[in-house]
Amino acid sequence: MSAIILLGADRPFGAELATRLAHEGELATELPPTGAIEALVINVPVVREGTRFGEITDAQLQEALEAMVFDVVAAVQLALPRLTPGARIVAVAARGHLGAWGGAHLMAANAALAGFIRSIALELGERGIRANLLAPDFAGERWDTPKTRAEVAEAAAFLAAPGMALMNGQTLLLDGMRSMRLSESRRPQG
Amino acid sequence: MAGGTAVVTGAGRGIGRAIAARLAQDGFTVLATDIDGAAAAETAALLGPGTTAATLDVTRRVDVAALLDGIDDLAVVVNNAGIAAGMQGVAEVSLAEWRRLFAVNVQGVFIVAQEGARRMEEGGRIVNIASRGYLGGAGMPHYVASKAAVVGLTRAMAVELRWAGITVNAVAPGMVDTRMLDGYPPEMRRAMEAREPSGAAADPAAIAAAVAFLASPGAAFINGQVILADGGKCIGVPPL
Repeated sequence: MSAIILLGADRPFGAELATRLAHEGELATELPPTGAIEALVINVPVVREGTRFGEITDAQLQEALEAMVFDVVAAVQLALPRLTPGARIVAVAARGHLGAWGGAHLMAANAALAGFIRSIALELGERGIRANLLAPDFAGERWDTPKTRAEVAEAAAFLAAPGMALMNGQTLLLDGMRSMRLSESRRPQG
Repeated sequence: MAGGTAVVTGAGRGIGRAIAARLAQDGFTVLATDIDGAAAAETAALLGPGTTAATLDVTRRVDVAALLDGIDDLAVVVNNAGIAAGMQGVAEVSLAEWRRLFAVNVQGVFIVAQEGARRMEEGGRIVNIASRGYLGGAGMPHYVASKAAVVGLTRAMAVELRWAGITVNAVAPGMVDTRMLDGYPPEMRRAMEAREPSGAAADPAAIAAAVAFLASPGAAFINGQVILADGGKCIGVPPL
């Protein structure tokens, strides 16, 4: 059994991720002090709140960057020396890198995370380490059901599994086509 | 002919100065700002009467708001101010360095864009300078992530501000001949230039041309987009 670390298990999707990833190896929900790491799954889902662009505060942007970027970087840095050759890094965020109505600070942080994943995929590829981003829809919305959460966990297990060396630095969109629909572009009510 | 005031951040040198020059030529009243006030003043002096200069640290919201309060016909905001990063791997870049870079490249863009949007009427234009690096690059994860954030912010802003008739777009330059390249040893710079389709770093005016297009009245139907101005180096690299 390989060692899989899941960070953010207490956030949305966390329970489903924990259940599913436990089938793939020995799962810990925080970084143990020692031991090799086969897969590092960092769960930072986006809960879209409707804050309009004009109302977002500097503190909100700072908070979003801390949670979705700097904390993720810190976790990767901490785990890095212990990642095995061929290890997998998976970040679970949202489709916010594409932009969305409300919460521009979260979308910016989501996009920064996608950029980070791409750059570490390029850098760590030499060690055989892969890094990918899973981009489901925003947590807590109408689409968010036990069935879709199970699909998010399934996709995370796929990205965390060994052997898929060709997929690296990618953002896997898992949003039931919602970002493809023009209805997304309509002016929201209220 | 364009009109109204165009504010350009980081206009003391390099791409920012070229943008200021181009927008002035296109008919805008340009306010060239830079954290280095003397450099901004030099830009204004070069451009001649009608162009003004101001010292501006884009991370200081009160200063940004006070400066923009003095403008009654704000038409264009170009978020050009940004800082570069040296080559460092993910293990080496400190979180303090991540925060330092994001403060200017992301939070500065947010502050100026938000304060600008509040003071713009229909037809307003916001142009953010990202970087080809937003598509990824080994050895500067913080710079890549900060520029990816600029693109994400551009799209999110465009989604909302279009209802106010304001467009928000980005230009992602490739290798440009500016002082940002000073950090690289000459041999490395030559190797980088050899990998460019044109064989050389671009003239900043080439980036200013893309910005000027997005800032022009005719570009009203282009929104939330990223123009990769990199001589075609990124062809084949898919967008995020």
